[in-house]
Amino acid sequence: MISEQAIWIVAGCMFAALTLSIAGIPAYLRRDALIGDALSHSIFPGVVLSVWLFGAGNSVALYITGTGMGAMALLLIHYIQQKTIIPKDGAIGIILIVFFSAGLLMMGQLQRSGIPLWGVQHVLLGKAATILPSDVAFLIGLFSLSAALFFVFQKWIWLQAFDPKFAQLSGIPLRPYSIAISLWTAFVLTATVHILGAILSAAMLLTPSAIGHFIRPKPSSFIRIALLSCLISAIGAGFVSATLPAMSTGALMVIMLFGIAAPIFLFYPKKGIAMKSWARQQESNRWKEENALKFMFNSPSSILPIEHHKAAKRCSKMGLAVEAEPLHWNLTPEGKTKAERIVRKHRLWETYLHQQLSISKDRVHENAEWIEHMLDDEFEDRIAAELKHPKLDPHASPIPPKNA
Amino acid sequence: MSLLIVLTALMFMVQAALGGSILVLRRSVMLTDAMAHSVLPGLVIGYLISGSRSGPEVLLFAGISSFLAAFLIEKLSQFGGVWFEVSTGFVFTSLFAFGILLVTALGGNIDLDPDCILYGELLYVPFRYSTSGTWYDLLPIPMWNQIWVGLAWIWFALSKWKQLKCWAFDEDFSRATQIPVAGLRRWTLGLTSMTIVVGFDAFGAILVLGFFILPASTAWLLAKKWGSMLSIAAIQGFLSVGIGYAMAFQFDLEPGPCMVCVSGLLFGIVAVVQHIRNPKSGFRPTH
Repeated sequence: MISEQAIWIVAGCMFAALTLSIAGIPAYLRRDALIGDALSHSIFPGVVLSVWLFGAGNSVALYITGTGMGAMALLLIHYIQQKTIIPKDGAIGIILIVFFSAGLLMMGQLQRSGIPLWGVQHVLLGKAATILPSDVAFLIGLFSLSAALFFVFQKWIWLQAFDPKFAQLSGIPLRPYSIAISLWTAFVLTATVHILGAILSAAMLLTPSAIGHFIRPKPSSFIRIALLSCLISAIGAGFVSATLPAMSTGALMVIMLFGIAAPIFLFYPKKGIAMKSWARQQESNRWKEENALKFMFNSPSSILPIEHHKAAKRCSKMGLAVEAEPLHWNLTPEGKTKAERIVRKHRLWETYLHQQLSISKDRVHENAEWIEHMLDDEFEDRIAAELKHPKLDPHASPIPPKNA
Repeated sequence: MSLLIVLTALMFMVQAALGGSILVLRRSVMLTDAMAHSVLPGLVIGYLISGSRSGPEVLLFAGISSFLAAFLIEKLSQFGGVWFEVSTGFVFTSLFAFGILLVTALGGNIDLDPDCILYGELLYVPFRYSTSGTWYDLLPIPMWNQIWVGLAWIWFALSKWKQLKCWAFDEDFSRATQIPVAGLRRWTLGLTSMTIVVGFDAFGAILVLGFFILPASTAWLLAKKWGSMLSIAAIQGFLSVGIGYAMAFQFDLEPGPCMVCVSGLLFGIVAVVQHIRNPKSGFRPTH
């Protein structure tokens, strides 16, 4: 039986994550992917400050100091980038570490003076187990508000993400909007950081957008995928943490997101790393097989050189060649047809380069070595027609006729 | 006692100045942040295997997981077409979450206190000796760790001095002149992960990260040559350790964060003074 508390925890984590992933989209599109990391560390002194000055549990003070610190950090990052030679990642690193250590310094002082630190430690690692129904109501409100704001201000978000120069030229003031978006991100982080912790919040800001953008670069579908993956990970994490209550829900959620992202990054058709390398491997195998067949066709009675052995074995599996006696390979009828096609493409291309482009005989071979693997059947016919179906190539070797 | 602490810190400063200068110039300094966070799963696994919080197994696994993070980040952005920053953020947060999951899954059975990871055990450095009965007992263990890693850095820097200099300032030129850029990068990241791990053990995450980023950035503002950049970074590091330690002692603060704040303050002063003296010094062509 799932306890009522577990449901609140899952609901709270879900809405916190959704809010964060919406807030992460503009930053992601501006290629400020690490700004979430910087912000979630730099609101820490703000949190400590609010506990120090106004006591634990004063959320209005917490939002003001946290957002203020986040804004200050962003401003300083911007300033360092603009006024010194330090590039963006250096500026982010500097501000992140200095703000975070300032927070730690203050926290140490608080600990010494005996002020209760309730809530401050949760910024570091998160504490989803303390979510109350009132928190969930607040998070639902926050989520609805960010979704509404996002759709109202969509236009400016796209504009500042994709073409700030255009906006500048057409006299659209982008600055207030970028500042407002940054402030909103800082505020959302301050309001949710105690649930997931600094690092996991940064993950929630970034990873859904990364998944969405990997699958569909187009903004409207990319947001849908981002929110969907966020939702799936939250529900999955909810089920696991309902059965294993000791596990941290936030960490489970990030791991679930990783579980969604990693297979996509690896195996997504045409874009995944493994798929791309598999396709490359197939292509390179095809080239090698064609080269082996060509060698067997051109010098039928000689020993097959070592570099063609692997490819020749693959050809024999496909029924294109047989090893008649050790190291001597013969083409099967199908293999012969295939080899003739490759040789035909090679010699046609050489003839084309020589006749039509007046490239000297000794320079056409190298290029034809490439083109023979890539020439389309249609182009082959057109070239042959253009050259009036030649019988000999520039080196006076016969061009095999095209057979069905 | 405090002499040993300061000596260990100085030994660390040399490594951080070297590694930090290279990574700051190569615009990969957020990699150290990522690597430092990714240490967590390695720490937990090492702890599970050895049962102690700072045995050699812990250092080994922590080193492996931080190097793994750097490796995955590079490969994902290189072959997956994911932006470098995105792959940095994605990989380290995932590894960190995995570490947290391990910690919480083990419940109360694990004695990995986040304070210790953040602050390290700087004040215990003089008390952690080995008990093998050989010459290895003469110095504290964290000090030996620092010496070995420091020597590895110095050997690397001296044997590849010119190539490193060239690569740090101009990657494209180095590629064109057939300097083995990939190898240099792998070595730098490997040594960086060793520095991070032994630094974690002695000083905690904050100090390690701070001293990779801040002294080297200050030096970049001031220096015009590779050699002077390294020495300015090391001197900035020494100064912040000295001032920070004195301040922490005087005002009863946490020494680690205090040193980082001093270092950040020094960076700020240099940046502001430079900007006032020559307001155009910072402007540069965009990359």
